[in-house]
Amino acid sequence: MFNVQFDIFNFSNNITFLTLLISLISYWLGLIFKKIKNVFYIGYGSTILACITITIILGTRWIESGYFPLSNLYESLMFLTWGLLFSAIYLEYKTNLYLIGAIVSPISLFIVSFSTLSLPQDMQKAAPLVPALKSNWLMMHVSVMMLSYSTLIIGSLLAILYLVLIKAQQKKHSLKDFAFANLEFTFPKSTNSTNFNLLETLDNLSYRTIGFGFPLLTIGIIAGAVWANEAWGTYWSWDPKETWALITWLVFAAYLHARITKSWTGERPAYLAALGFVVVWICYLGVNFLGKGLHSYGWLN
Amino acid sequence: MNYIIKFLNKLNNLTVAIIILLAIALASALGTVIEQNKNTDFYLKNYPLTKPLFNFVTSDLILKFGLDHVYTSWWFIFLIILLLLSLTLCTITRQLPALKLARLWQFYTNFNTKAKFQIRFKTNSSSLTKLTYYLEEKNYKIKHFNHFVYAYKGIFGRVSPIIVHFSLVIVLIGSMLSTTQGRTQEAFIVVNQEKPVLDTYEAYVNDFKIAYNSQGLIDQFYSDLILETRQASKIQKTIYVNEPLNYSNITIYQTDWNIDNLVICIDNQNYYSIPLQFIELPNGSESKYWINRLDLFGQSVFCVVNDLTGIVYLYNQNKDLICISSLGEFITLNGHTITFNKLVASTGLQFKLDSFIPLVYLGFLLLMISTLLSYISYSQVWLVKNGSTTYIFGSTNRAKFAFIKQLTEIANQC
Repeated sequence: MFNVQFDIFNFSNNITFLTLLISLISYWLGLIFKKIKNVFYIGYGSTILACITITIILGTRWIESGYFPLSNLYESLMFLTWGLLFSAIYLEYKTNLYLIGAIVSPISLFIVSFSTLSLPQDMQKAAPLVPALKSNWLMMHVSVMMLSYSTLIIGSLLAILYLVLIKAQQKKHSLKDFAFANLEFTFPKSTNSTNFNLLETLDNLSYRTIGFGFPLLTIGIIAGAVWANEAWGTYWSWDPKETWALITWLVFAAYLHARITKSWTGERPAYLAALGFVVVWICYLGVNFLGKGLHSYGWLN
Repeated sequence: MNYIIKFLNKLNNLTVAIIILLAIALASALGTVIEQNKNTDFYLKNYPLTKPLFNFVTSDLILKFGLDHVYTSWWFIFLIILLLLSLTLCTITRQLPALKLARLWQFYTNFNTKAKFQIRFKTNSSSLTKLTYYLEEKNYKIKHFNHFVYAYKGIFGRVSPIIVHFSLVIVLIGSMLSTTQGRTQEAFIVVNQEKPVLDTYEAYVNDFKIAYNSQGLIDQFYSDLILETRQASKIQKTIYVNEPLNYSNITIYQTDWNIDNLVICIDNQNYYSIPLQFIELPNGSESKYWINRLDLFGQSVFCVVNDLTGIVYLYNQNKDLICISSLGEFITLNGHTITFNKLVASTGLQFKLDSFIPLVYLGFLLLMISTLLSYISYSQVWLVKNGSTTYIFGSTNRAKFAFIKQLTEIANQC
């Protein structure tokens, strides 16, 4: 029984790696060589496949260990990748914007290879939960936090892309010369087509994605606060992880408000979102390398 | 008074609000970089004046501005109060007035105005019915007027931000009250001994147990607890980590544990209770050790215990292991029989009196719902007939892309 599951796990791991590599190559081939358009379908398809295999990896772990697979760094990174891929698949379906897959596939491939190749074997094994983590809140708090991280990462990546493209445009490279130009979004041709250019699309898409990640982050932080209050009697203790989650929340709150300020159009909110990208990563990984505080479970023991 | 009004006017500005948010973020980050709540010597030693961190953080600066306790320093609390004021002002002077129907439903009389419509479409269809039907199908609410049709959807997206601000104010005020009015106390309670705790409460521990999993690691801590109030009512519950006892405004949490005494019997007649000392290992190891030196019949031995499973390790003065004994087992030392009878444990509990938890939780609940609903985009559409052509005007506050896509589709269907 154990052997069979181990094989499924290894097999899914290899397939994930392979499909993400294929997806990365096909998306970027499509971007660089404007003429071959069908590669995007290969990219999109393999992204979906990678998402499914990660679901299998996490699913077998869930069945094996009996609790939601978010107890160590490896599982948490895999879940983050799952969130990134899932959001990318959804957004791409909604907008037909292949740039999303093109930016999400390299970052996913990087995370997956880091977690399977660089993490020591014993850190990849599912470990029994310490008493403090034995709670239904684990699933609620950690999964919502992870989903919010992945949504916010995609949202802020789109904002960074927007900044890069706008800088390129300002440097007199017309966007037409840019390899991405063939992705310019056009509505069905008719008398009433509104020209919504790539930059505007990216800008609005990153706003909407962050706008969705933000309530998730709020719910995740609150679930953590309520859990902390149930487990050790205080809902806020300025633990580094908590504090950085709050900082992330504040930065994205500032971003969302900047969007509705008339004097803050265009680039300035995007800079805040780019700052948010850095802050999310500090919150998710950086804090744990300090090895202090209440959130140091399942990491570098 | 004038100054206050001027000050409040300055504060009532989105850019200022954004700066406050970022200032709190920066201050919070500072508190995770500089170690908090250490003694003065620590800062003098680690942040010398000669070698400032980031070229400006020195012990002088830290101590002067309370950077050793950022989150309770006067200026951090001042920032929080500024945020509270800014939230309240924004809600009263901007958000609530904007909720008036007249401002929500913008009935333009002249559609040539330069009002910012994201959409200005023209269709040749002469009837509004078809367009209205499509809009209704997309969940728009329709209002018919003499010369135009007004449609809107997503009103929650307009109302929710107000509730977000309101619930943040509740959470901030609630947690301020919690920290100033609430009380906590940590106590170790020896099994089978009564102990008075906070106010009129007394706690009694029937039993304390540690459950281990198959790999020998700690699975859970259980304290079988009785809480007695002055009214002589008794509440019994087995609490564990993540499962506290709640009664009225008191909550009791499982937080820690200790082994206090080892009961030893010599030659089957004399019983002694030996206090054990908890030893903290310098390398921050997870294992715990309790230790005591026994002088028995001219020989010194060290008893070492590291959990409640009842295994006692005996070492001689040269730190060599003499024997491993379990409770109740007879061992012989210098011709005497020794039995370890019992380990006396105590459970570390945290007692908390806080009447403002429900208020904070109410804020939490409202905040979760309202931030989620704030995602909704508030969209408005005007259909105006002019002879044989129909004009479609539209505006939305958040999902511009999806809105334009949707209306383009509707317009093309006609």
